[in-house]
This record gives sequence, C-alpha cells and structure tokens, in this order.
Amino acid sequence: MLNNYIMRKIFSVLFVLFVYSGFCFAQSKITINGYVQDSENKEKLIGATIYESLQNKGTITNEYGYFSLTLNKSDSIHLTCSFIGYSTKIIRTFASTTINIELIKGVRLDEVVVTATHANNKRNELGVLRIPMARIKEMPSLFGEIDIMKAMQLMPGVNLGSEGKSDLFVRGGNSSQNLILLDDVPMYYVNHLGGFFSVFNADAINNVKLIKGGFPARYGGRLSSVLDVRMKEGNMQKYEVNGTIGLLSSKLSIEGPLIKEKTSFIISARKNILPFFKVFFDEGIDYNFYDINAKLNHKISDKDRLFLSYYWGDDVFGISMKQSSDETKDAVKWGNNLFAVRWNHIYNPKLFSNLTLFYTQYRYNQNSTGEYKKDNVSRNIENDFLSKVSDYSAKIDFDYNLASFYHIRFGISSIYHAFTPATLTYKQSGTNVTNIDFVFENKKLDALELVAYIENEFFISDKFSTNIGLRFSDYITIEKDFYNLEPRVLLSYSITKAIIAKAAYSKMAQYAHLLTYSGTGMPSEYWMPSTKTVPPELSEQYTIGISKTFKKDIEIGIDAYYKETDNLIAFKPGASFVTGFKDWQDIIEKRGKGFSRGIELLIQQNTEKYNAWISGTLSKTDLQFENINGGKLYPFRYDRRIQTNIAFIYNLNSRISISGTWTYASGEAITLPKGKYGQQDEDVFIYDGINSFRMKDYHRLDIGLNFTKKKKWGTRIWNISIINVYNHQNPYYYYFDREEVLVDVESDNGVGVIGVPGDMKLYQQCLFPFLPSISYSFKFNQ
Amino acid sequence: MLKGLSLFIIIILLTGCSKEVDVTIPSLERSMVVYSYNTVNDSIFFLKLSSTANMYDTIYPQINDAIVIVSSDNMIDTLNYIDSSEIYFSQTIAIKDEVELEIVKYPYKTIQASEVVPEKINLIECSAIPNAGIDTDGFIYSEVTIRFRDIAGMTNFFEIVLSEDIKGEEPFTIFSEDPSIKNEDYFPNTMLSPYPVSLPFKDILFDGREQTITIRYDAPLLISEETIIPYQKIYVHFRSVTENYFKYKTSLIIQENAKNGDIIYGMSEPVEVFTNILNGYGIFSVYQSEIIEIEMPEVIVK
Repeated sequence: MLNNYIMRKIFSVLFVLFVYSGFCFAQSKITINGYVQDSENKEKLIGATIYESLQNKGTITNEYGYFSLTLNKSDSIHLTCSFIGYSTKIIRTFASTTINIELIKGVRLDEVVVTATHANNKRNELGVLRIPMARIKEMPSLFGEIDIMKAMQLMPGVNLGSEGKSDLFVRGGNSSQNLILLDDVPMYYVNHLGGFFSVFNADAINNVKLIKGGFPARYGGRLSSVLDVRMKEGNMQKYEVNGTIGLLSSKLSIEGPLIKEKTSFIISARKNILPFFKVFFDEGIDYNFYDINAKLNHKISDKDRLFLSYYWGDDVFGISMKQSSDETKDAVKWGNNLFAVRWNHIYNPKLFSNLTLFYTQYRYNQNSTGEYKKDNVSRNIENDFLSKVSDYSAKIDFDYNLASFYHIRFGISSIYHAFTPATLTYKQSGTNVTNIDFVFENKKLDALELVAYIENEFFISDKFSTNIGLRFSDYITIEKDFYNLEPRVLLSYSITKAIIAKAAYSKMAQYAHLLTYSGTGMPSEYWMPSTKTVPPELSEQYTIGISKTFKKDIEIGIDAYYKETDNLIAFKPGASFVTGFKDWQDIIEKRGKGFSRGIELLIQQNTEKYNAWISGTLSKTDLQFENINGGKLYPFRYDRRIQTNIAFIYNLNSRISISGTWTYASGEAITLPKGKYGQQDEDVFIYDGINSFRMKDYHRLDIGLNFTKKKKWGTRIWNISIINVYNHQNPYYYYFDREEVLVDVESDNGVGVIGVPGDMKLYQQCLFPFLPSISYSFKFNQ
Repeated sequence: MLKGLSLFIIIILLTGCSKEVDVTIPSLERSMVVYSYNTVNDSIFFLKLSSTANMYDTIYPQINDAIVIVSSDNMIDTLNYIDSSEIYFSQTIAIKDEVELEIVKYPYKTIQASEVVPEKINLIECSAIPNAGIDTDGFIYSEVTIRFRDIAGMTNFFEIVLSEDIKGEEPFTIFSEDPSIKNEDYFPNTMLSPYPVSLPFKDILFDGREQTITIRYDAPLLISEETIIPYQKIYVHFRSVTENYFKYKTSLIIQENAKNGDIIYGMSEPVEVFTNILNGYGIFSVYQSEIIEIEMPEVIVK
C-alpha cells in the first residue's frame, strides 16, 4: 500500500515538473558556453563571473564551473571573465562557441577591474557570502588548523557562538538549521573535538559559499543557511603532495592525473597527533579524530564528466581498564560517512544537467563491555547505545539557459531517510546471575522525501531581474504525510551601474530535528524524524538589501531581514536524552516559535595585494514555547545584539603575507539562578527566566603570518598565528562558587585553622588567553 | 615529546583565567523549602523546613515553627513543627496509601504536597567484599552486591546508599558499572565528576526479573608496614522510592554536576531540581527501605 502511495507521489511530482518545464523559447541569438578553470591545475572555478559590458549581460559559473550565456548577435563581443584571486581575462568572439576559459592565479589587470566589479554586481543573488579558499588559508588559525567555518563567522549575519567553536548561527538560527553540503551531499555532523574544529580539511576544499537569505529553490531541508562546500577535483596536469604539520593535527593530500587531461584524483587524510588525555590519565584513556576525503574525476567526453566523492570521519573516545581478572571497555564513537556519484552532461550549449546518487550517514554509538571474574564466578555485561540516520538519494538537476533574458533551473530528488532514533541493547550472562538480552528501542521511522523545484531567472531589462522559484517537498512516513510549497522570490534592480537594490522572500521546511544535550562532557547529538506529534520546522524570511561599488574595488552592502520560524523543538526543562531510556517525543517541547530581525553591513575591498572587509550585525532573536519561561518570549542563547568583524589579508610580497581579524560582540544571553535553597548540605539553585542575563562583551584580535618559499622540490609555508593578541579575558561561561576561606577555631588543644565556604560569588571562565601557534605546510610538485 | 607538547597546550589553556564578575541579581520572593521523608510502617516523619535565599546570601533563613497537616486515606493529623526535624504521625502508613502534606507558616505561601507509598522490596541477598580490586587511579575498592527480585508490570524506582550509620547520614561516595545505573541521565562522567552518595535507578532493563547490582566504594585503608583494610561495619540502605523522589534525586545530581565550574560542565544548560511541593521547593516523599548491616573483617592487602 505504501508503495502505491509513493508511486502516486512520484508521478505527481513529475507532473509538476513537466508543467513547469514543458515549454521553450526560440531566439536568434548566439550562445557561448564552457567551463572556467585554473590555468595550472585545471580546477574548475565556481562562481566566476562572465560579463559582456556593451550588452550589460552576464552570468556566473555554476557548482561545476560551467556557464552558458546567450547574447545578441554583434560584431564585437567582449567577454570579461573574473574570479577573486585570479587574473581577469577578456575574450573576443562573434558567434556561438564552446570555450574553456583559463584564468591565471594572482595576476590582475587594472584596466578591467571596474568592469569585473560591475560584473560581480550582476549576480542575481542576495545574502550569499564567499571567501576564496586561498584567502582562508592565509588567515590566522587556532593551533594551525585552518577552518572554513571559523572564517565564515567573520561575515555579517553569522554569529560566532561560543569562544573557539566552529558552529554557525546564521540570522538567529541554530547550528542544526544549516544545510551543510559536501559535494552536493548533506552532512549531519560537521565538528571534531567537541566543536572546536570543523570536519572540513582545507587542503581538500576548492570552494565554499554560505547562503543566509534569498535561498534559490534548489536548496532546501534546513531553515537558516546553506553552506555549500565543494571538494577539489584533483590536478589534471601533474602530481602534487600537500601536507601540514600542526600542533593539533597533521594532514596529507595527494592529487594528480591518472590519465592526463582525462582522469584525476585527490585523497586527503587528517588525524590528531597530540595525546591530550594521556597527559593526565593512564594509557587506557584515549581520544582521536580523523577524516578522509577522496575524489575521482573522469572526463568521459567533452560533454560528460563523472565524479566520485567520498568522506569518512569520526571522533572516538575510549576508556579501557584491566584489573586482575576484570576487564572493562567503554567507547564512544560519532561521525559521518558519505559517498556520492555525480554525472555531468551537456545536452547542448544551453542545457546542462547533473545526476547525483548519494549515501550519507551520521551515527553516534556508545558501547561498553565488562568481564568480571572472581574464583569460579563470572559475569559478562555488554551495553550498546546507537543513534543514527542514513540517507539514500537520487536526484537530477538541470540548468537551462533558454534565452538571453531567461535562465531556468529545475530538478527532482528523492531521499530515503532511515532513522534509528535510539536503540539500547543490554546483555548480561555469567554464573549466579540472570541471563538478560534486552533491547530498549525508540521507534524506528523511515521516511521518503520527494522534492521538485524550479528557478526562473528573468532578466527583464538591463536594470531589473528576478529569480522566482518554487520548491515542492513531500515527506512521507507510515504515520503521516507532510508536504510544503516553498516559494522563493528574488528581485534585483540596478539603480545605477554601481548601485543595486535587492529584495527576497524565502519559505523553508526542515524535516529532520536535532536533539542535542550539553550537560555532559561528551558531545551528544541525535537526529530525529518528523512524526505525527513533531511536525516539520518551518521558516519564512524577508530580506532587503542595497549595495554600491566604489572606485578601487570597494563594495558596500547593507541587508535587513525579518525571519519567523515555527514548530521548533527544545528539551523540556531539566530533561535530557543521554541514554535513550525514554521516548524522545515525550521529553521535548514542541511547536516553538522564533522571531529574528537584523541589519547587516559589509564593506569589502579585494585587490591583488590584499583582501579586507568590515562587517557589522545588529540583530535580535527571541524564542517562545508554551511551557518554557511561562510561555513568554525569551532571548536565543546566541542572541548577540551587536557583532563587528574586521579582517584583512595583505601580501607584502610573493613570500610573506600577513593577516588579522578583530571581532567585537556584545555578550551572549545566559540563564543565571535568581535564588537558592539548602538541601542536604548542598546549595540548590532556583532558575527563573531563561537567558535573562548577559555575559560581558567579547573582543579578540588574531594575527597570522605566512612565510612562503619556493624550494627545488616544491613549496614550503611556515604559518605563525597568535590568537588573542592583547590577551583579553573573554567570557566562555559563568559559574557561582564559594571559595574556601580559612578561619580560626578554638578547641581543647588551642587555636586551629579550618577551611569553610566563603561568600557566594559569580565567576567568569575564559578559554583562550594569548595563544601563539605554528604550523608547517609543504607542497611537493612532480 | 608529544605528551610534553600536549601538557604545554593544556597548561596554556587552563591558565586561561577565571575572575570574579559583578552581576546584579534581583531578589526572589521567599518560599518555604521542605525536606521530608517517611518510611513504611513508621510513624516518625522526618521534616526539615527552611527558606529560600538570595544568590549572594551566605546563610539560609531557618523556619522554626509551623503548622503541619498530614493526612492519609482516612486520617488527618495537625501537628506543630517546632525547631525539630522529626515529628510524629498518629498512625503508620502502608503500601499504596496516598499521603498528603500541608504546611502553614506566615508570611510564606501555604505549601502542599502528596505522595503514594511505593511497593516493597523483595531482597534476596546482600553481601560485601572488602578487598574487591584496584581502580584506575590505584585506589583499593570494596564492593557490595545486592540481589533482589523486581515486581513486574510497572516501573519501579530504587535507590542505594551506603553509610557508616544506620540513619544514612554519613554516606560513602559510591559507583557502579551496572548498566541499569550507568544508563541513567545523571550518571557522572567517570573522569570529571565526583561520585554521588546515592545511586537512584529504574527497573527498565530487568522488569519483573531477578537482578544483581554491584556497588563500589573506596576502601578505608591503614598504611603502615603493610596495607590493611580495617574491620568495617557498614549499612546498606536499599530503597524502593517514588517517581517524584527519583526525579528529585537525579535532577539534584545533574544540577550539582552542571554547576561545576570546569571546562566541560561549565557550558552546560542549567538544570532545575525537581520538586513536588506546590508553592515551595524541596521534596516530600515516602519510601520503603531495607537496611542491611554488614560486618567485614580486617584484611591485609597483598
């Protein structure tokens, strides 16, 4: 019965697609299509701009570096192709043609700067942030660990969260509301070391883009942002070995052509090297994290390309003990693995498609075993807790440049979600004990998510363009069927050549919910499905923005947004889900609401010598649950009202670059007790008012220096970073304590001194003081 | 070398700093706080009354007199609480009785609570080993093993306390590897939290079956020319408790851990301690208790 139902759904989705895409335009124009790539290693450049200044028309390369641009026939067509950090190239053509444009890294022609900047302004997008990978690698890094997510925290609208953490809190959203894609595949968990580093190995990444508003219809499934991370494809020309030895971890990447100009690969692996826990504990306690990225890229023909992507990463924490004849082992392991096959096909210069098949899994597993023996008595115990979600998906996306004024993108996808919310297995055997083989299971629930979308990009005039899209998502479970129509609208108007005003509306739906508990030392994140009692989370966001380009590549942009979220979940006060001994649906508050609004400013300048930007965010986010805080609105924990970032990367010469970042943020919201009582010699705190206090303001200056030197064998880079240069004591958390004070006491033997609890005081704990670090990177060339 | 580098980084991080901050916390309306329990077939109620205090206060205001009304299914007693922690009810209570408590004291709001007496315990055996093993920190531990049969078809709640006195007022910190206990939310991170003095747990893993639970505690030691575990007399308090009491005890341990100013627990969300007192705080509970006295001879540790 379910199968028939699913088939009916699939046909209805296909019908919607057919209706929207079953027409076309015939125009007598010329079309120029092809790829934009790095001249040296042939890596595709994602988001490069191709612009024709006389006709004031342009486009950007898609996620595969492909573009298609339709223009009026003319005797003089000058295409300007640009990308940050690369030379700008001008190409002359007269007729329809397929060209692969190669840009040279680092060289820039001044006479085309303004044209390129105007071309950038033509991007039909709002709330999209990009930082070139080359620049991210030159920024200051904690323990030498370059992190794309920490770089994104320096952009407007992205809250830095807690000190040192790499989570993204975008426009009042939680970190679980970010759609994080690695080569088009969603990742459920993106942290190592409890959130201090992201899972993304910078050596394997080609491009990263963050979308925080004005979402194109092709993206969905999360409420607040899209972090689109693309892996490198591997050098098509020669073999390269990259490596970094850092204080915390080391990594090694190998890439090169299997068949020159036809097939390339990249394998990149990273692992922690420092045995932190072994400093204090014996050899039985250990913590490790590691990840592996691999990709194979094969050019089947000029029109067909095949990509295989793979990621595997885990954090593992284990304790093992062996005392006489007793032996116990505890291990907690959490992480992702994913695998994707993608096939790009160019049907004709105007129509490009990508077929993706992928598998992605996040799992959290806690296992403990014990063997106890004494004389002739023995007891064996095994305890296993598992929570996981596995997705199997097939999707196809089309990119159709129908006419010079109309660009359409459409696609369909299906994702089969297999949720194991929490399964606890307990086994006991031995002598003189009852044999037990027990399973306590939160109900498993599989779901099929069907999606169809269409994006219509209309270039109505030289001044006015739109991207009007619709996404239809249907989430089918045996319990209930949820569907949502998610309209996406972007309007863009060029007031002058340098000033553009934009407005956007997005509705988003999120069918997977994250339960996370921060009460213990170990990270514990569990993904749960939508059910009949826990409906999908929804959001609506309205954004307006204006940007102006000045001389010398200076751009200023101001965005304002208002966002409402619905059907949020949160733990009931005092509840947690550490072991899964309960039905997760019984311990959460449902149907919460969120209200976010803010104004964001970004001033940036990108030249050959340096990149610099200043960002500012003024924002407010409140949450509301019926049974939390008496039903009254309360601030989101990371509701920092003001956040300002200044960042610069300056190349002193070809060997030395210096970078710096300075962040100021008003204090995060915290819950402090408002009273207390004594119970069995303990102070019991009374909390009244969620997040009703604020921590002290946060500010920090980081500086990085990169020393690059060409060697016979390749290149080496020393990176020296200093975190918190002026040693500001930023609050990490607050706690109450009664420090012991010494008092004199009289006794029969005379006067003595005893320690008694002193006055109750509130303390602030800081995390990173002045903290220098160093790392060494090398690149062997064939 | 790697260990040395790790130590260096950890020292830098730990010297991150901790400093006093000044935050004004508004006063909270004063409420009565109750700590009260009664055991089955006992007419003595343990009751301790106090008041809530402001965060920066160093002493808790005590309540020295109040009117206490205790009622069960067919009986009401109005009693005076005067500087005392033990008050006498006119009759004993039995399994499944519902007991209600009301306390009146001006200017506090009158508080109310009720509780249903839990099922009795089917204890089969309780034994102890003075020299049971050596833990990861090198400490010798003693072990107590309790064997009992659970009542099927309902969720039963238990608590284990080990103490040197029969009243349980001088408890040991205790620990267990048993999954029934380790799977409870409050169970401490073995590296970062102090062991609790009581171990509450449920019967989800062994509903209706016989179960053996082993508890560990640090053995007392006399160290001279040889290491001796001296003669010990301990009391094992094995209790069948109510769900309210279980929630109170577990949330108390969770809050206690979450309050720690260490780098792991410092970030944790605050946890409210459960109360079944209307208009006040604390706990009013009735439980079944088996108190087992165990004597262990002196042992010379090899």
